[in-house]
Amino acid sequence: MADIRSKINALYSLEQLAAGDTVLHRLHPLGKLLVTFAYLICLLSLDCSSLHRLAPFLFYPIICTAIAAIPAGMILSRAALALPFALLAGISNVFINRTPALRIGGIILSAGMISLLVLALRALLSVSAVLLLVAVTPFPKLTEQLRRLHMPELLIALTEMTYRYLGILAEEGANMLTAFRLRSCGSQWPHLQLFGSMTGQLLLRSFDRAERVYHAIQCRCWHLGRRQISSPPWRIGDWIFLILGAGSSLAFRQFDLMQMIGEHWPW
Amino acid sequence: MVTIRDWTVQYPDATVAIDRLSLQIEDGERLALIGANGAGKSTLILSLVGILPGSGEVTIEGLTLNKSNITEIRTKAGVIFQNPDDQLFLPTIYDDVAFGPRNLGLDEESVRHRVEDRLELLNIAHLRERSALKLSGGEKRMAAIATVLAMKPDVMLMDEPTAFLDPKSRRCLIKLLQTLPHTMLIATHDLAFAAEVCSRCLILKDGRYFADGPTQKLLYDAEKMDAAGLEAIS
Amino acid sequence: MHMADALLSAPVGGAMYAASAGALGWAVKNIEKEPQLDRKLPLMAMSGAFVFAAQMINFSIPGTGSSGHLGGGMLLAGLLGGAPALLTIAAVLTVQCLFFADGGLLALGANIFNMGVIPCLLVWPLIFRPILRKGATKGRLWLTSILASVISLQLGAFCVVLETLCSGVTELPFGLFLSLMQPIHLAIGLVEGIVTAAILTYVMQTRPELLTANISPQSELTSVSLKPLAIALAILAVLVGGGLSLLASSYPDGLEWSIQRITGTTDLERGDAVHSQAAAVQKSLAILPDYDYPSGQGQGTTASGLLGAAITCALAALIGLAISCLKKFRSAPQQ
Repeated sequence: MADIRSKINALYSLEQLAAGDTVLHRLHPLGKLLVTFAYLICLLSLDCSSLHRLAPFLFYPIICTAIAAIPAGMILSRAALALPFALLAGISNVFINRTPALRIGGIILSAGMISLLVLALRALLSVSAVLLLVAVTPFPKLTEQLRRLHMPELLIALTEMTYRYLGILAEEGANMLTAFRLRSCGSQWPHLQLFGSMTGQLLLRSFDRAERVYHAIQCRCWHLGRRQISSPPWRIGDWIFLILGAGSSLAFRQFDLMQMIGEHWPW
Repeated sequence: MVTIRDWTVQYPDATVAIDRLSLQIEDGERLALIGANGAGKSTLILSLVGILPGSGEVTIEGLTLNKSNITEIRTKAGVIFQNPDDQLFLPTIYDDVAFGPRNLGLDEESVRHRVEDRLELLNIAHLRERSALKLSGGEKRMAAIATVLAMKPDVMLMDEPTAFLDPKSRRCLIKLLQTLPHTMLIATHDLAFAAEVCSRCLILKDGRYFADGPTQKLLYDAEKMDAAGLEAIS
Repeated sequence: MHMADALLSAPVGGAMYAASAGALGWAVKNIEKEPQLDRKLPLMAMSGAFVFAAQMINFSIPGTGSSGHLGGGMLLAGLLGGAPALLTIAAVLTVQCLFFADGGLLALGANIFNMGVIPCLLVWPLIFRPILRKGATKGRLWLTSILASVISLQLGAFCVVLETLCSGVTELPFGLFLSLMQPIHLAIGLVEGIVTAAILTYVMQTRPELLTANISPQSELTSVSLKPLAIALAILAVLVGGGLSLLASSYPDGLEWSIQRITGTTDLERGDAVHSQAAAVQKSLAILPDYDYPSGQGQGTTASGLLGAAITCALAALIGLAISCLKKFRSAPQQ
């Protein structure tokens, strides 16, 4: 039980971070959303063979993580979850494209190896950027912003509710599992035959609970298409953030600054 | 004041849950709603605020329930659910209590004011930043009541408020309810609690009116209580 | 089957966003007409949470960069109907991409298409429902669940292959890529079909009223209007996706070209990819054939570029550290 409880808490840990109060937290959600999208588009439209050009894209996640006082380990460990997929996708490139592309000292790297590295970095950076957005923007503010952008209310409400219901489902599941273990004489998980009816029952039980929670929020005047919270003011700081954030991504995408720095380095 | 006239609630499968019920609750009166399991107590409460559809007439504080004024009805009448877990689902108690006022479109400053005020009133200001997952049954009940009080209702509809409470928390709840000025309809199985908090009670049987009268008399009437499928206080 | 941002190029991501947005817009319009929407919303959200939990059990498919797990689209469609199921899948994928780094923000459109639009708007109206038309028996429910799950996962996997190839991040040949993805998703599809059938059968036995609205033949109305739309959507998506990505990959990238004009150092990277593939075929025995390759030129990455990159990384790390230290220093006296 304690195990499942801690998992539920971990589930919402990013949201606790989002309750922080730093310069980044206070920025307008629209600005953060735009900067994140600009970052992703610029990062992902870079060619897969240009490893060095990914370097300046480190600035945004590192600086923001530091300013927002987010534990870097937390973002990294979550981002690492995405890494195996990128590595497995890139590993085939190592075997297929063996053209030597670069020699550093005695080591020669093939084009396939470089594209593998690029993929891994792309994965880490793109995932960090998204996690960062959620870690400095409370979920309700983000969805409120999407509403103002005229995304369908139904879809947004559904997304909010799905997110909330995850915890409720986990609770119901934990209760059922405890009840099962108390009577199962030692086996930890139900065997296959029982599994179908247990998951079915879990679904129906959660449906009932979902309905009650829904009634409770309806009783407190929640309904589809309710009055919108007025937009927070767009301040000068938001302009600065937007121009710096999106502008730097565009510049890093447009110009091969690393090449220039490397060539003009004093020694 | 709450007036209910010929109120009928039908489930989608045509079962009649509430059958032509009429009753009236005066301003500031606390009416206990007694009945065996399945008598329709919870259904009645949910139908009074338009969550479940019903036919007949319900008037709450001068406002007759219809499709267009459901939001107003729900600000006038707050519902406290049997299981506080159903009412607390946001990351912190503060967010849960602020949920209703925010839905009313209040600005963040007045929301904060209301939430703090209600938390102080119920002596649970220290739970502000806590998650509902980590609270005791009694604390959860108080938090759930705070979420409803934050809507500033005139009427409170409660479903089994003493469920999940230990004796001490139950005592706290009794004291609290005795001091609140609201008009209340309290569905409960806890007859001793009903006798202490409410002056009048109404017995429901199979969705129909069965009897009503002063709690001090009716709840001790073994014959009548037995006929309703209940057990009188001895 | 989640595709990550890293595996998708911006044009393909954008095209898939457009396709999914169109489908979602239609679904929202369709569902808003429903009288029982209020009652359905919590069920949709909870089923979404359920599918979310089921998808947490996943593994990565070697070589493809895609994860293998239950799709859940058919289960949702069976429980809720096509349009509500699509919205629910979209909600699930959004939460996953934001909070769990599963899939990506830019890849969201592609993921919604592969795991939502295909099962809910294509397979459900064209296969799942017609089989149940003559009445929902246990046998038919099993047959249709398994068949529909297998087909939607096969189609979904095929789309993943197409989208990844169009993005040009992997050099796996089309055939090999397909032979990695399709059989694995056949197995997943079978498992998913069995799970879907088991759950739907349980629900049909205990709460038939939940299912009747979606699988009984009475509600013919939506299925009629759904079919042509489903077909049109599929064609449109293929055209838009294919066209855009063709355009993107065959055009020498204008930006690259202008960079080259400015810096005057790098070769055209796209052109090299063709050469390098040809070279790879020639020297297919060793991972690193013994070339004497001059350092500092050639492919997209150069030694001087790497030096610049290293300096940048160091700078970024320094700035990050400095800000953290400054923050700690500033907050210390207050505590």
